[in-house]
Amino acid sequence: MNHEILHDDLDDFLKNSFEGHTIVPGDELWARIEPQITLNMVPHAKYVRMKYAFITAAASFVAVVFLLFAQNISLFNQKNQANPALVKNSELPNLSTAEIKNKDEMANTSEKRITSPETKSSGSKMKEGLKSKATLADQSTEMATVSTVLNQDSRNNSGSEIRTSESILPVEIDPMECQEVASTENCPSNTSTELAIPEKPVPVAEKATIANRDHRKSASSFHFPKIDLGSIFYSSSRPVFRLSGNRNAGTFDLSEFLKKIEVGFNYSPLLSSRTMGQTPISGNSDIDRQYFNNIEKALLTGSYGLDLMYKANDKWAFRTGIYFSGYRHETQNDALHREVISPDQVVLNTSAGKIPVNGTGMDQLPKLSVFNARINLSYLEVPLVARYYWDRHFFTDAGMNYSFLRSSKTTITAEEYTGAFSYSGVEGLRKHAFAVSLGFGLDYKLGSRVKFEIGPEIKWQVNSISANQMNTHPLYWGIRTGIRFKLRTPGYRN
Amino acid sequence: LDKSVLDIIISGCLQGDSKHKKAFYELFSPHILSVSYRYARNRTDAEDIFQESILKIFCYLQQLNELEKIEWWIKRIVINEAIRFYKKNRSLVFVEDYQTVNSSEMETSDVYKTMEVAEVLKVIQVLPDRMRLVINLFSIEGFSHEEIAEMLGISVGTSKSNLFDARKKIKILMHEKVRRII
Repeated sequence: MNHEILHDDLDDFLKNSFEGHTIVPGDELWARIEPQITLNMVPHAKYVRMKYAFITAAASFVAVVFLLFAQNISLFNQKNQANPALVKNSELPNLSTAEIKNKDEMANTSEKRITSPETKSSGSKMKEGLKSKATLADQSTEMATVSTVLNQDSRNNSGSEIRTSESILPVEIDPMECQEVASTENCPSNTSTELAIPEKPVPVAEKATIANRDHRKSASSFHFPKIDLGSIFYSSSRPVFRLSGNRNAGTFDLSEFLKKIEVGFNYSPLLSSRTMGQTPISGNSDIDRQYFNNIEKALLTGSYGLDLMYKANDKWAFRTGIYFSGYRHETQNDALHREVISPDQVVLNTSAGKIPVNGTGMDQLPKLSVFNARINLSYLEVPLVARYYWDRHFFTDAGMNYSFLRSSKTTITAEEYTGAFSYSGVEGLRKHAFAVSLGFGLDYKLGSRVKFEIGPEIKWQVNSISANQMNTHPLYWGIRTGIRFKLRTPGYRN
Repeated sequence: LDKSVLDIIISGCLQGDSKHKKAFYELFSPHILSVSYRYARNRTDAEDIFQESILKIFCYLQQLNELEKIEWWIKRIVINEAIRFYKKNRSLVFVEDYQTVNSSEMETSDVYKTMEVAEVLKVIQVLPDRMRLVINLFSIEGFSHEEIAEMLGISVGTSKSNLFDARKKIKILMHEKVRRII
């Protein structure tokens, strides 16, 4: 007789015995437990991710603005200062190198004729100035800039001018020489350039010689796009960032750009409701039209956030930013269609989207019910608005807005159901919303760099609120208020 | 269980809605209580484990990332709570001296057929704490001896010997119960 149960059999027996086994607790247990329930306030993972993403984006934005601003200050503090190396070199005693002598000879034998009374009369000074104690690296940096300047001027067929802070040097340059030694892109057609070299005359001939040398070195090399920070030291006006090694390429004047930037904050109390399409219900919907959209109630919502405005000129400006915005509306006596997709999937078709209701009590509603709903949606919004100033104070705004759905919460109250039911898992809500906006306003100057603005605004969402058969478009209208600050650009003579 | 429905219920719970909390409780409490009974000596202990488990589940509900694994997540909380309960009450462990039962007349298959789940549960409940935990964790939950040793803070050898003793006692008790019924 086998009275021993095999171990594996016992394990299987135990496992099978308790598979799906349940014991229904008594009601008194829930009554005892419920008051003690506390929710840990650790945010849900997806909200944590969204929060960190937003913080990172905001921090990046602030950092970029700060860096641009700070860089502008530090660069501008050096405006109008001569290149210290150049000044130093011009005052150094004779310490020529073999390389420089060779370059002198090259200059003498070249076809280039640079005639300048001041230059010729100060021939010895020219040599002295170039006989430097500085290292070749320093000379190279210095002369590269001079080279660029001279090559630019050498495109003139007739005599050009090289300006110093105290004198203007007429220069005659043979264009053929330039064509020989430099590529076309390195010979722009600008007529003159300002050189911020104080006091002593510039040794032009030597600079031309060195320029030729540098051109020969770099004529065949590829110029990577770069920001030519060095050029600012020779600018007598303000920093100019060259976006390419090629002087012919476009330049970006940071100081001028910042002068036109205004940052600020806005808060706009708005009423939100919705507009419906002409055929909001598709043909196969069971929703009774007589109940549909009986009472629409606009609710107060709003938006607030950071503004960034670029004022192109006296008439036109462009505004963007990042806002937190909301959409709320209430529908009363609306029709609700309960749809049984499968035994374990019952949804309510509403104008707010499809709401899964299994196990919530709402799945016991009749197929067609009358309900009230209050919809709350939260968005992160980025506007892109053009502003036209009619005069110094009055303006019109027109533009587009992109919004990203952050969260949703809808409260539904059906007549057959006692109490309200809130849910956040609405299916079909569009994550991305696009809207057009129109506004008018008044700019009021509070200080030399501070402005306050106020005016009516209306906004309409182009795409529908959800992907279900309801063609619902949020509509906002209200008052836009904001305060803007003009960026300070130190040293810039506004 | 439909994920979207579960998501709604959990979202409601996280917002502090009492109806959703009740719905969540009604959905999972039968399973939680069953597990609690398996790990407890008696009904009182089972309800204590159950209560503490429910409170912890609600407390840490926001940390639940994968809805698909919610049942396993809940079961782990109950198991951990049972182990914590076992460790806290270790000094109260009372090991009964079971009589050797002569069940030579019973066939194994007859024992399986005769035993109801409730009786199997009672057999498990009368096991000493450590044996009960080990047989639950190994035979029913499917943990390895290494995992059990780590969870209970014992050696792998102890886990194996406890499992051996638990099986032996279960067999004896099951045969005894069946013989009484017959």
